[in-house]
Amino acid sequence: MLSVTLANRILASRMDDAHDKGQRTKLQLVAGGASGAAPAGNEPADEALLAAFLVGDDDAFGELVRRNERLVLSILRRYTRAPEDARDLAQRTFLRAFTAARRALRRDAQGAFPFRRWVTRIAVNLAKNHLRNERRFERARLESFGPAEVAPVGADELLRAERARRMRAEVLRLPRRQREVLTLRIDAELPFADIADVLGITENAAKVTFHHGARRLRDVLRGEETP
Amino acid sequence: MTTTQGPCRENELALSLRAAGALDGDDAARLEAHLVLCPACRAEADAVQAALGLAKLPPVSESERRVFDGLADRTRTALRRSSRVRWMAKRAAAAVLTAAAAAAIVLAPAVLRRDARAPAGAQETWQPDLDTLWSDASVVDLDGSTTTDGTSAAYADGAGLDADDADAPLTALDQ
Repeated sequence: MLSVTLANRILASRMDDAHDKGQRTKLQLVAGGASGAAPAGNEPADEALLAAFLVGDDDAFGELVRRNERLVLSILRRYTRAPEDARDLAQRTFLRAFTAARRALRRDAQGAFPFRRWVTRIAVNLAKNHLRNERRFERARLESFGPAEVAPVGADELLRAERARRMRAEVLRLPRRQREVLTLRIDAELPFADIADVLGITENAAKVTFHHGARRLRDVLRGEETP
Repeated sequence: MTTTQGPCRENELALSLRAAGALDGDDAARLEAHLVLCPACRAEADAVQAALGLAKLPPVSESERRVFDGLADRTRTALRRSSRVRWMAKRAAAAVLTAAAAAAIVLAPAVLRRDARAPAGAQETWQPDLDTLWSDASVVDLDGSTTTDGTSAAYADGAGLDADDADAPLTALDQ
């Protein structure tokens, strides 16, 4: 990928410039997450791809989307009633992230833009707004959100599918912070450190919030089991 | 350590983290050893695991995958479209500004000329007599030697004062 090389050169020259000006080179961590999309081996980092995209490399753009789409869709699936809605929200998420990246890097060319963290945060916010709008304007029931189970066969599977549907509705009834932490963990499978980073809280707070959410779900399940 | 009511208080958080698959190392080993001995914690661990298992979304189905395919291309197209719209909006704004500037350059002389003509009517109503204006603006000569129309000389002689007015300062001076 020619432009990625170009982008890497741009980054390197920026670092050289900073060094020449006597500035201390900043060590910047770009959140990679643990859900299998972090660059491995010789793959360029998100930041390099972003820089390549900003100098006009369309391939870098596609690679960035492909690398993060699984994460974004896993967040959005729970909050939408149809896969088309999840796809449209994912598209909006990436467009907003690219617009924000362009603006941020124009303002501070040497600053870091942790693309993955931004994309996650934007997806969480768009999902929350979408859920609120669907509930307010469409009067949608919480049970209708999320992907449908593959057609259950037999009474046991039917019962389990019904319980799962109600439990997923309970997830959406959780207080906002509990819901965000819980879904980022069980849907997006992010480590608690990344969840804390995305939501701007401490890792310990993320774990405790998750615990409260999980306990609430357990209470609901117990209530259903005891007639 | 164990209670009949519920799990051990000190293990509640660890049980939730275990159900989330986020417990490892010494903490995980310690909890597993405890679970062997504590039925209440074991029951709690199973309950949380079951709740989270039900709450978890099913894997992406084939129909969903078909919808999600090509997200990168769709996003790229949308981005190009929005960039083009933004570019066209900028061009349109620049064109409007240019047209406005050109119109201002062309129309400014005409407007200014009309404005310059407008006070002409006012001038017709106010036509001062230059002689009067000059005499109104003249300054009283301090030494009284030169006057423009004799007024200051008259003042110097005290002729311009009323009798009462004239007496008062003169009396004061005499004293």
